[in-house]
Amino acid sequence: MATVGRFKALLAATAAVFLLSITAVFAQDSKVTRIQRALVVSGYDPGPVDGYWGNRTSSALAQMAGDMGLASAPKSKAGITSEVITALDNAYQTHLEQQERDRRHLQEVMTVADARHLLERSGVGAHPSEILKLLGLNRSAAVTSIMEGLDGSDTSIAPPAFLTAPRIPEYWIRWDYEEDGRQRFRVARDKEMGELRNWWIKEMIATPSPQAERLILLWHNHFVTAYSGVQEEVHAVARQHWTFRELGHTNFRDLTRALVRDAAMLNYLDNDRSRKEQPNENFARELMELFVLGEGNYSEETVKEVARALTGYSYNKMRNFEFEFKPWHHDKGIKNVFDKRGRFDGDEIVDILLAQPAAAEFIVDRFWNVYVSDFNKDPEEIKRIADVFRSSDFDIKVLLRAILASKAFWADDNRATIVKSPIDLLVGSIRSTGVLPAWWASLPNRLASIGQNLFEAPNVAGWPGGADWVTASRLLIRREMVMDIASAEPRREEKDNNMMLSEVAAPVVAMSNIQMMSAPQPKVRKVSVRYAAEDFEGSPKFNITTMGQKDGMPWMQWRSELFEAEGGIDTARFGRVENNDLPWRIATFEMPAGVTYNKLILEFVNDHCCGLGGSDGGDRNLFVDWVALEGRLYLASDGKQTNNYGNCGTARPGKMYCSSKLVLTEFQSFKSGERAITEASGDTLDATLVAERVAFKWAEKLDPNDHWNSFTFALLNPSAAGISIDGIQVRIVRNRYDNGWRTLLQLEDRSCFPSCLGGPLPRSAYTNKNNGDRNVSFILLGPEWRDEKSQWNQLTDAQRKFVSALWMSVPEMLAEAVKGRNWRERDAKNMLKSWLPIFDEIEKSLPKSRYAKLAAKGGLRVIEREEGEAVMSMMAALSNTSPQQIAGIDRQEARWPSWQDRLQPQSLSQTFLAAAPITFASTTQNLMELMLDPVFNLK
Amino acid sequence: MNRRSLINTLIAGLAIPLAPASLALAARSSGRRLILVELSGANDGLNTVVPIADERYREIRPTIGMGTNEVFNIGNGLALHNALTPLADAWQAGDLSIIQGLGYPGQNRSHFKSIALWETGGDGSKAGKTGWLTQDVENMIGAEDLDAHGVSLDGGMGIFASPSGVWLSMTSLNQFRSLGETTERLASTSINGKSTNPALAMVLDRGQSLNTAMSRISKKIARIRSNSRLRFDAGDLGRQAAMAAQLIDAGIDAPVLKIKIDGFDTHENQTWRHRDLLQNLGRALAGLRNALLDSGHWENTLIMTYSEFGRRAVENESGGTDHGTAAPHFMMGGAVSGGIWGIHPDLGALNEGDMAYTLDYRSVYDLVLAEWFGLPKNRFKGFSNSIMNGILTT
Repeated sequence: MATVGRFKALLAATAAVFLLSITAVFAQDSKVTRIQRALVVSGYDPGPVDGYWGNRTSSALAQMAGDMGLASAPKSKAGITSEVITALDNAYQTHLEQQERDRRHLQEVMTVADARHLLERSGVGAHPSEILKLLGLNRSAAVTSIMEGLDGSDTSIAPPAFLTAPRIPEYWIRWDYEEDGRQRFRVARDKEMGELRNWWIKEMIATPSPQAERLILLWHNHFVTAYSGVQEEVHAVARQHWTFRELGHTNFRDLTRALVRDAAMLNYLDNDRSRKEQPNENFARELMELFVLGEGNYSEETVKEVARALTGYSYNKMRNFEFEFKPWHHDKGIKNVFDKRGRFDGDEIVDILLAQPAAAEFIVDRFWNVYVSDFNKDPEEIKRIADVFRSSDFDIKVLLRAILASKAFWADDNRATIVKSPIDLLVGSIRSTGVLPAWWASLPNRLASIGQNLFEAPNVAGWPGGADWVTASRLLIRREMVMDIASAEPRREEKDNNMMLSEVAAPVVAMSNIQMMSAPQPKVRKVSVRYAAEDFEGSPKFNITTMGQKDGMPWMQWRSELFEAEGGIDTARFGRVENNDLPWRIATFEMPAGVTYNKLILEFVNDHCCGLGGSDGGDRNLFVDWVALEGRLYLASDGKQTNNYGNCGTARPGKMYCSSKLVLTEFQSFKSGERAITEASGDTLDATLVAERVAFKWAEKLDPNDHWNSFTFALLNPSAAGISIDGIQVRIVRNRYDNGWRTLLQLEDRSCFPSCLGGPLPRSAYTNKNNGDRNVSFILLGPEWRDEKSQWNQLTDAQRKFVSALWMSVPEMLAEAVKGRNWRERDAKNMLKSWLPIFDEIEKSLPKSRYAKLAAKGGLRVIEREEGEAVMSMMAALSNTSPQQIAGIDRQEARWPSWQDRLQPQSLSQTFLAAAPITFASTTQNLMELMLDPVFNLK
Repeated sequence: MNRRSLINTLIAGLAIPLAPASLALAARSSGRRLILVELSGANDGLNTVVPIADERYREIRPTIGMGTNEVFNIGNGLALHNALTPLADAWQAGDLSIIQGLGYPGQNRSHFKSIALWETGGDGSKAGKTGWLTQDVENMIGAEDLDAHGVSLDGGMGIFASPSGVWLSMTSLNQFRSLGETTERLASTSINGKSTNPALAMVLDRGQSLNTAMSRISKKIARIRSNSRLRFDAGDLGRQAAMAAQLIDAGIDAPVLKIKIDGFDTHENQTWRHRDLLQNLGRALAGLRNALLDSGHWENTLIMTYSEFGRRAVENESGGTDHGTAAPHFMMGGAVSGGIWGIHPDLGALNEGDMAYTLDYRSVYDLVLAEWFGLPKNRFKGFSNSIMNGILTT
């Protein structure tokens, strides 16, 4: 399986904090404790599970290493490599298989029905090749082979490109944008959400280890967070998803602790603003009701106490959504939680909740619903498994093995007692049949229209599942969709996408490859259009016209054939599509080489409306994202849309709800990726502060009675003296001391990303005792204190120049900040009144300061970012190909009939149905009949 | 496989004696109906029902405040935005009431989260999980004889979230229509007996309800022509309202219908945007009233607006208003006792520019369930509030 190195690199570099936040979850000796516990459950004796590395731990490890054929046994904590962890996993599975020898139901040899059952429940669908692998094993060994696929951190398809982009979007400064800017930001994030959703669906289709995806789906529906509820913070949503991938198969305590610190979760359940003066109970309540204990197992009083303990648990938008503890909002008082009393924080709360007897049973019950039965419960058995789970200290693998090895899991009475979710029904069927339908790009829409829009659970309780999947309005569409799959033509071989990418993006490649520049000009040029369609009694059609000049008059140069925009969703059958989730596709036209043009016109010619009840009953629409050719990217949103129907869609070019013309003249060149800063040179380069935006962040009215007053600016992507930073907050502080006032500029780690000065702060930086945050101050007026002197002295030359450039630009920062929305909406005008004398004084003093020596020729240049983002998203779209594998095998070889032949021919219904069909004979060899049987709704 | 055999398998093994359509209609013909109107984006209550006599209104709305010539007075120092003039008839007839100061404790200012609270009856400290009226409506006496429990005409199903019941969207109605011709003869498909598998029994049972709903509705809906002349000049809301009137006229028996008008998130340039929105709202509701008066359904219909929250009382610097708290809402119907109900939030006691709500919105939910649908033991009976006594003449 391909390891996704690039994404790992992202996590390590731009989101190093992300990894930290996960590892920080583990207490000091938890690694040793974990190893000891793993040894215990694998049948070895490491002595007491106490987190201390003693002789008995060493010898137990050595014994295990010998048994599992490791070359050497680790001598200390540092020797715990991934090989050792894997060996421990294997030791556990081997040990369990030995134990399971006494359990007769696990010694039975797997039948086709058994294999399909195990695969559908523990994974997604069941491809005949997967079934073949399990046949002949006993159930115990089959479970072991399933347990090998639980780690979701290595994916078979590279994660969406936006997650590996060099810069994280400027979430933290977006409120300073005017409406149109915020709209653009939102739309860009919505698009990324679509990419992430699409990617996950593709991964579920392609992966050879669907067991990991099943677990991730389980957690996704347990620790629920909906994208719509987190103000377009898609990067936080993606982080949460990766937490499930990395921790979802490890330990429930670690997972819960990570979720208590998860940005998307804290936002979704409003804990990010929970303060001691006014604790928000949402997260506290759901933590107990939905995540750990279950309703009825806690009191309202406990909700209040837990909410107090979680006050100040927040996250930092500026620092890639890392967890942030805000001590000034945290209630440090004593709390009473169950039988415990103390000044608890979030981690301790998780421990207290997990110590409640209800916890293990509640989680087992969840797993039972997903793996054993939606309808049949066995309280005794659930209690037994809960005991196993609890005594493993909430090891998720132990829980899962206990479930899959239980008699209940294999019992006939529990077969076909889980209603297939939309993922099971559509993605599962694609995996089972090995056929990727030509309409695969509309899978997210189809899933949504039968109730499972990934990352958009209806509320914090998640998708209720069971009967809710088959409500009257959904049942009908489910059948239609299954019919679409059963009759699907496999997706034709795509044109070579990479080829297309290189043609469209030629100028970019050329920049980094001299040879490309001398490549011969192609005879035809490719015009690519990213579009999405909504069908109603047919698909939309469009063509492209290029306009040039002739005798000073606009003149048509070339017109494409009429293109039928395939791949849309039939709105009459499946309803309208949420704008965020349109099934985007790329159409390619060939334009003769000789054509010159200064304008493109895309015309949508065949609008058609409506079904009964208007557009919701069916409507034909065309959506255009961009047109690309010859290194030029024409964004539809920059175009002009006209039609003969008044103002239908004219305000939002690209959304063509009526037959319209989209006129495109503005474009971005692909070459525009270079940063403007490189234009400057020499001294000016060093001294000039270049930034993409300066915003007012926050200020308090200058109060002479207060010894500490501040006025804060936010700078997007500032650079000077060769130091370039994604974001920084510059705080001007007016500080009173015994004999008068001081004016200084303060930078703090928590308000910079990735760092304040292009590297760690100097050793002498101050440390905030409450949250460990570090800051530095640079004096302008008044005496410089000793620590501040050291802070300045410990800077590198470049850092001194950078700080000087910041200081010298303060007057200009003020002038810039006034332009933004924050200035208006945060009452800055009023604050400034009291600060004006200070800013005057600053302006007068700067030329005489030490900062002027280093950056006198400086100043501030605000260069708005060129739309590199659009180009990036275009590249991502072009490389977004269909999954090449299904269930881990090559798509061309995955179609079910060729595999089915290797199974017994009479077992077709066993391969595809969880119980005997009720509308057709179970001997039928007609897949369509089997899939349309009511039993096909179950697994 | 064609669509006919699709239906065949859908209702596999179930021979259901269908209630004759006319009988079903008769059984429910006195049934009451609620039409929910979502004002999506958060309507600005202060510029809808304007406290025109209040000096402080002018102070907090120096630029976007309504002038006396831009409103029509309704007494008690209040006036309606002129764009709502189409509702003057209803006001005169005593069919329109205004309930003031609706909100809930622990205001959430996210559109998504707060509308979810209104849809499920939650508040700042507890979200609901199913639609606020779904369970009660499903449990109503005689509910099994309905065509459907509710129909959403705007595609949004959040307010109808329920693991049971027949809650339909316009899309499903269209599917019913296109599949409907085949249903009648399929009703006699042979039976294989109930399954002992509880999941399978449930799926078969659902197939049965679907089949029932479909066979009841498809004929009625087939009578509606998409080119009907019933039109209200009120944008997309007008289209939905006209559709609602047609569904009712066609005899589709569903106690709850839902329509929606979007665009109330007026952070900027509120003046003209809000006027256009209210104009569509006024025209659509007036048109709906006229249509239902004509078809004789007005007395059995209650129309109610709702929105995720109100907007901030103090206007912002961009000619608009930001996310706020309390807001008034409309109730209309033949059985409504028109007038102004509840207490207007005190503009002299704003908290950070926001009004304090004076009535929990769930009191209205209790009122609707208890008084309109005759379900006094509903989920919200704890919010029962006598301040609205007499608003429904039931």
